[in-house]
Amino acid sequence: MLKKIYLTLFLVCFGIGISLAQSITGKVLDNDIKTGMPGVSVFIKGTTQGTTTDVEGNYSLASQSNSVLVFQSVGYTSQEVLVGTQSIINITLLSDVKNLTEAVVIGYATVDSRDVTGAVVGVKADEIKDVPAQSFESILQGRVTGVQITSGSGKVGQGFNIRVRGSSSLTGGNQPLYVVDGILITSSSVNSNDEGINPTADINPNDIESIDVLKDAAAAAIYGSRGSNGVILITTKKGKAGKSTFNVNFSSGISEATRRRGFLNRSQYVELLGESLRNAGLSQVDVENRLNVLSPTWRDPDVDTNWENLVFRSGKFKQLDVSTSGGNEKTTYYLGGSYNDSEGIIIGNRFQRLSARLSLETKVNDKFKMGGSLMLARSKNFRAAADNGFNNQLQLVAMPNIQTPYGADGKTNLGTLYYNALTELTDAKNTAVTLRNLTNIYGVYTIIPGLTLRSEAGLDLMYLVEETYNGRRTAGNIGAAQGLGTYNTTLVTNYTLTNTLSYTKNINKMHQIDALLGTSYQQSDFESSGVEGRVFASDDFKTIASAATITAGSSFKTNFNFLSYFARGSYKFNDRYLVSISARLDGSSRFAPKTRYGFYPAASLGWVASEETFIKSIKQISFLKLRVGYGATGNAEIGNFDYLGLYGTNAYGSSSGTLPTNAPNANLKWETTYQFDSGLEVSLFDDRLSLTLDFYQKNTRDLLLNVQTPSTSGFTIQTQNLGRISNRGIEIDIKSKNLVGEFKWNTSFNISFNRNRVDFTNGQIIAPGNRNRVINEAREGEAIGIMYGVKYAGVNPANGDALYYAQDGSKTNNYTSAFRQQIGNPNPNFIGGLTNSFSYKGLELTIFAQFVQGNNVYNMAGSFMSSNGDDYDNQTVDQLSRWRNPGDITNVPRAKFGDANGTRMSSRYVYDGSYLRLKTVTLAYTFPKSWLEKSKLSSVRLYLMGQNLLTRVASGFQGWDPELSAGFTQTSNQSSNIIMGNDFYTPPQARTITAGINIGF
Amino acid sequence: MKKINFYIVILTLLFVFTKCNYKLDEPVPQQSFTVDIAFNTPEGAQNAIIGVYGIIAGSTLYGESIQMASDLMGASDDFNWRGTFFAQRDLRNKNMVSDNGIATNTWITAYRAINASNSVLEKLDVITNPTDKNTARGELLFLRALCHFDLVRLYAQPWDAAGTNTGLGVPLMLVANNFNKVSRNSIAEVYAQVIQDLQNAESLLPATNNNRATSFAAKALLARVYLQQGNYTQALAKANDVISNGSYTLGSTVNAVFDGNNTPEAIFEIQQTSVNNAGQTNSGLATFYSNQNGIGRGDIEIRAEHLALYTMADARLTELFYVGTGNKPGEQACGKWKSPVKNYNIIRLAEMYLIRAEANFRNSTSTGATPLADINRIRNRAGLTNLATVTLNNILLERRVELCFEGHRLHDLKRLKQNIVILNGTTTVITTTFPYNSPKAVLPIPLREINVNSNLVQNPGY
Repeated sequence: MLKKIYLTLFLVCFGIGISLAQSITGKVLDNDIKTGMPGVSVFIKGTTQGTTTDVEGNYSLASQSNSVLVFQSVGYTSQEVLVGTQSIINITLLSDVKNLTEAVVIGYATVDSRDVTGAVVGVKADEIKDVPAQSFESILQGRVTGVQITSGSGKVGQGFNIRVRGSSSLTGGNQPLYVVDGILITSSSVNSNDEGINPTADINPNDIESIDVLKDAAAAAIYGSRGSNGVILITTKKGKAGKSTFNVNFSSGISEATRRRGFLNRSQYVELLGESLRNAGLSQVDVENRLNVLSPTWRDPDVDTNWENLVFRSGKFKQLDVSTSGGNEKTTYYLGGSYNDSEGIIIGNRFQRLSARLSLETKVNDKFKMGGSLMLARSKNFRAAADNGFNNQLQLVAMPNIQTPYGADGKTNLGTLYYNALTELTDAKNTAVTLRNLTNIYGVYTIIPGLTLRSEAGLDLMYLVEETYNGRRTAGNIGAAQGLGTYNTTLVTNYTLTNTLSYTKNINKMHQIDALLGTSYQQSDFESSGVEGRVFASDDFKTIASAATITAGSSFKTNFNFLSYFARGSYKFNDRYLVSISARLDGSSRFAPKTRYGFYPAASLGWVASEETFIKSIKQISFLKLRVGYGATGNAEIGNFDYLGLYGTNAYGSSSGTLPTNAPNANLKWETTYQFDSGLEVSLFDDRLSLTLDFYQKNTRDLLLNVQTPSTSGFTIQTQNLGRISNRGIEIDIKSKNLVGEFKWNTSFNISFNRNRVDFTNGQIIAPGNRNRVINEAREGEAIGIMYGVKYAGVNPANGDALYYAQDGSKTNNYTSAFRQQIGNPNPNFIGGLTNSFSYKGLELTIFAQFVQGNNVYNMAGSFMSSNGDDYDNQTVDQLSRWRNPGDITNVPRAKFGDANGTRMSSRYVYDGSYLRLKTVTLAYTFPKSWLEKSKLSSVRLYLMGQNLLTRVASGFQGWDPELSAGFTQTSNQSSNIIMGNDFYTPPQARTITAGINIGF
Repeated sequence: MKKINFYIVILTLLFVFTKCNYKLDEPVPQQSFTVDIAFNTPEGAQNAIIGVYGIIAGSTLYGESIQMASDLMGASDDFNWRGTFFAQRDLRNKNMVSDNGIATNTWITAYRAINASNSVLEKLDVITNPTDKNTARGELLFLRALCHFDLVRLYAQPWDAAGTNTGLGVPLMLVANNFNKVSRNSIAEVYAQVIQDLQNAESLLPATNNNRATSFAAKALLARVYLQQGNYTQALAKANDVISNGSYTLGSTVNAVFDGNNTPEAIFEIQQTSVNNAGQTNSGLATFYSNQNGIGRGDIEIRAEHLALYTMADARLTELFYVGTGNKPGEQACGKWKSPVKNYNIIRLAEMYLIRAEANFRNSTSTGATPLADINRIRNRAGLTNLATVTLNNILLERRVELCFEGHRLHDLKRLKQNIVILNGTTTVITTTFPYNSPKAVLPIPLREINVNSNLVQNPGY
C-alpha cells in the first residue's frame, strides 16, 4: 500500500510517464552465497507476462519503462523494481529470514505470528542445531516458556517428562500430544520392562525444521480431547525451490558424568562398619568374623575397590548427517540420511540410530498439489538395567570396597555382598531394536481460489524387538535356570486420516476471513508377544532356539480409536482486530457409548495496537499486540477399557484361571480443562527489544481419577470422573539485540512460573507406588506430587538417636509416633533459560544456560547409601560425621547395625533440587565465502560445543545430579504424574564436548 | 463445474464420516472380558475358581506374607532379619507404621480373594452338575474361610478362650462387589463365620480333589481354628478325623514334604511351577529364606538360639538347616523353603498329630493315640529315640521345632499367652520382650483403608 503511494509520487515528481517497449536482461544473485539463482520467477506486476531465471540466474524479458518487475523465489524476500530507462537489471535477493522466523504452525495450518491469538511458542532448526542429543526434547529444554522438560536420567535414549503449563491430570496422562507433519505419533514408551525407551528418539533432531508448542486452549482446542496437555507440532525439513544444495554434517565428542559422588574408602568403611556392629552388641571377634565373611582380605590395604569409578566411563558421541534439498517452482524435495552412535557414561549403555527421510511435494497442475514424506529409522539400545534392579550397574556403589570386582580367574567376583553387576557386561545381553516408519501422504486441491480441500493420511509404524539373555553367572539366571533368555516384540500401528476444507478470503483489504472445517480419524493398534526360554547348552548360545525348555510365552493385543470433527473460523479487521473461534467434537472408544463424545470450543481475541495511529506515533514501539482466549480441551489418556466390568486371567500351578480385574463405571466420560490465557507481545526500538508476556489459568474438572475404594470390595480403585486440579502461571520471554552491526550480541531470556494445586479429590489421598520407598502424594489443597512424611529433626547430642518432629513440634526418637506432614515439593517455583550469542564476521559464540528453581528431590536410596552404617552397604563420605560421643553435634545419627537409626523415609533424604546449568556453549566459525570461491564448496562451518559443562546445585544437595526421575517409578500415568524427582541409583546427566563440521556444496 | 467440485467434497467427507462411525464401536478387550461373558458356561465358573487359588498363591498371601508376617512378628527370637527391606524389618522389631507394605498388601489381596470367591458363589447356578456345584461351593467357602481366619489372626487381638471376644475383628465380606464403607465385625463373629464356612465346606467337598481343597483340608483347617480358640475337644475331633480317615502318611524323611510336590503328608499346598510361582527375585518364601548360589536373598538368618533347641541327632537340624552359599554366605539358613518353583505347604499331617497330642494331653484323653505315641511318631521320623513320658512342654517344644518357619509361632505364642521376644546381637544378646497381647504384635489396619473408609477403626497403637 505504502509502496504504491511512494511509487506514484516518484512517477509524478519526475514526470516519467512515457511508455516504451524495451528488452530487459539481468542476473539474479543470492545474497548469502553470491551466486546466480536459478528458478526465480520474474514477471511484470499486474500482468501474467513473465519468465524464470536459468541455471546461471540470468533472465530476459520484454517490458515497458513504466513496468514494475517482480522477482520472487520461495524463501526470499520479493523485490520490485521500476524498469525506467534501465536495460540491465541485476538483483540480489535476500533470504527471507523474517518470514521464516515468523511463520507459526498451528493445528492444521501455518499462520503469521502477528495474527496468532493463542499461546504458541516455537524454536527453529537454527537455534537447536549442533546439540549432541538422541532426541529433540533435551534440545527444547529451557528454551521455550511454559514447557518443563525433565530427563529421566543420563542413560542414552532416555525418556523425558514433559509438562506444558503444569500437570492437569492425576490419573490420566500428562504428556503432550506429538504431531509430526500432521501425523499423531506414538510418543509413550511401549517396552516390556520398567526402563522406558523413548519413541521420539527414532526421529533425528537434525531432520527437524521447527517445533511449535500449542499451550493454551485457544491454540489447542482444535486438537480437542487431545489438547489438554498441550500439543507439540514438529515440522520436518522440506525442500525449497531454488538451487539444489548438498550438506554434510559430522560431529564427534566425548562425555563424562556431571558429577561423581564419592564413597568411603577401605579404612573408612572398616572403621564405620566395625563401630556400627559393636554398637549393635557384637564383640570385636564377631566384627572381624563378619568382615572375614565379606572379604578374607579385608585387612589388605591394596584391596580398596572404587566401585563408583568402575561404573562410570568416558562416553563417546558421533553423528553424521548427509542431506540434499532443492527443487523448482513445481517440485521440491528433501532427502537426508543420518547415523548416530552414542556411548553412554554408564558401562554397557549405548544408543545407535540409522535413519533416512525423503520429503517431496509437487504441483500436479494449477489446482492440485500432492506431497508426502517417508522416514525410516532403526534405533538400537544397549540398555542399562532398570534403576531398581540389582543388575543396575550404578547399584554397584553399594558394594563394600573391601570386596574385589574380579576374581583370580579374571572373571567377575560373584562372592560380593550384592550381585556383581559387572557380570552383565560379559555374561548378559539386553538390547532393544526399534524399526520405525513415519509416512504421510497428502493432496491439496484448490476448488475455487481461496477454497482448498486437503486430504492427508499418515502412518506411524513402530516395531520393537527386545532381547535379553542372562548367562549362568548372572542374577537374571533366576532359579538356577542354566541360562535364561527372553524375546519380546511389540508392534504399534497408528493411522491418522485427516480431511480439511479451508477457505480464505480478503475483502477490500480490510476484512480477512479464514475458515477451516475438518474431520480426523485415528486408530492405534498395539500388539506384543514374548517368549522366555531356559536351559541353554552354554552361554555362547543366546537365542531362544537353543533353549531346552520354553518356560513362558504370551501375546497381547489392544486398540483404541478416536473420531473427530473440528472447525475454526478467524476474522481480521483492518490488520488490527483479530477474532478466532474453534470447536472440536471428539468420540473415543475409551468411554461408555452414551458418554463417548466430548465437545471442545474455544474463542480468542487479538488487538494489534501498534496499527492504531495513536500508537504508531510512538516511535519506540514497533509492534504491540494484546490477546486473550478461553476454551476447553479434553483428556482421554486412560486405559482402553476402563469403563467396563472386566475379568482378566491369572494362573495357578499349571492351570489358568480368571479373576475380576476392573470395577465397571458406565458413566465414564472425558476429563475437561478450561483455560484462560491473556498475552502481551511488544517490540520496541525497531525490534531491538521484544517481550512476550502470558498469564494463564487452567482448571481441570471431572478428572479421570483412579478413585480408591475400600479394598474390602475386592478392588482398590475404580476409574471415576472425580476431582479438580488447577494450574496458573506467568510466562515471560525477552529477546534483545544488544549490539547490531558487525559485532552482534543477542540475548534472550525466558522464565515461567507455574503453580499447581489439586483442588478437590473428595478427601482422597493418592499415594501410588511402593509405599516403603515412595513419599510423593497428591493431596487436596496441595500441589501434585508433594513429598509427605516424617520430618527429620537431626540427632540427639546425648545419645546419637535420630530425632523426628512430633505433631506438637517437640522432637521424638520414635519414628512411628512422628508427625506426618509435607516435607517437600517436586514442582519448581520457576524454570527458564538464558541465551547470549555473540557473532563477529564468521565467528559465533552462543552460551545457553538453563535453570530450575525451588523443587525438591528425594533420594530413595538414602536409606541404603547414606544410612550411617546401618548395613553392609558402602556409605557416602558424609556419613563419617556420625555421632560418636555424648555432646557431638551432627546431623548423622549414631551408627548401630540394623537399627534403622534415622534411615527411614524422612526429610533427611529430601534435597533442594534447584540447579543452574550451563546447558550448551557453542563456538562456531563459518569460513568467508571469498575463501571458498575456488573450491566447489558453498559453505564450511566448524563448531565446538560443550553440553552441561557446569551444573550449579543448591547447597545441601547430595546426589549425582538433580535432574532425574527414576524410570521404574514411571510405570503408569498416575505414578509418573505423582512420583516426581526420585533418585534411586539413577545415572546422572552427561557432560559432553563435541566438535563438528558442516559443509555445503 | 464449481458445483460438481463441491459435491465431490461433500461426498468425500460423508464417506469418511460414515466409515469412521462404524469403526468407533469396534475395539473390544482382548486379554479380558466382561462379567457376563466370564460366567456364561460352567467352564467359565470353574476358571474363576482357579482364579481364586491363583490369588491366594500370590506372595502377599500364602506364597509368602501370611506365613512370614507371622514368623517375623512371632519368631523374632529364632532368626535375624538380614535384609534391607523396612517392611519386614519393622515387623520383626514390632514397630510397624500404619502404611507398612506387608500389612497393606496382605489385607488388599485377602479381600480380593474373598471378593473373587463371593463373585463365583453368586454365579454357581451356571454349573448344572450337582456334584460339581457342591465341590465348587465347598472350595470357595474353604478359600473364603482361610482368608478370613488369617486376617482375624493377624489384624485383631488374639482369641481369648476365657473371654467374650467382642473386640474388633475384621470385616466379614459375604457378598460380591460390596463397595460400601463396612465396619469391623467382632472377633467372635469372624470366628463363627469361619467355622460355619468350613463346616459347610467339609460336607460339600470330596476327599480328593486334584490337589485342591478337600473335605480333609477343611477338617484340618477347622482343627487349627479350634486349637486357636482353645477348643481342644473339637480340635481333637477334627485332627483325629484327618489322621484316621484321610489317606495321609508322614513323609519318610523330614524334608520329603518340602522337597516334593503333593507328597502323602501334604493336606493342602500352594501349587507352584517354574512359570507360575510367588516370585523368585523380590518376593516368595524361598526368595527370603533361601541362601544358595543364585537362589534367594538369604535375608533370614537363623539364630544359634533356635538351633540349640535341637539335639545333634535330630534330622530336622541336619537336613533342614544349612550354611548359606548364596547372597549371605556363611550364615545359617532354613531349608524348608529352598526352591521358589516347588509347592509351598500350607497344612500337613504332622500338624494334625501335634494338635491331637496337645488336645489329648490337655483333655487327659487318648483319642486315636496317646500323646506320647503321637510325639514319638514325630520324633522317630526325625531320627530321634522315643521319649518315655511326655509333658505339655515336651509337646509344645516338639510343635515349635517341627512346625518352625511355617507361620505358626506368633499364633501359638498368643494362644499360649507367652511373651514375644526379640533377640539381637551375638555375643552380647539384647533381649526385648512384648506380652502376648501387645498391640505391637498386631498388624495395623492399612492406612489406605482408614483413609477411604471412615467406618474402620484403627488398631490401638497406630
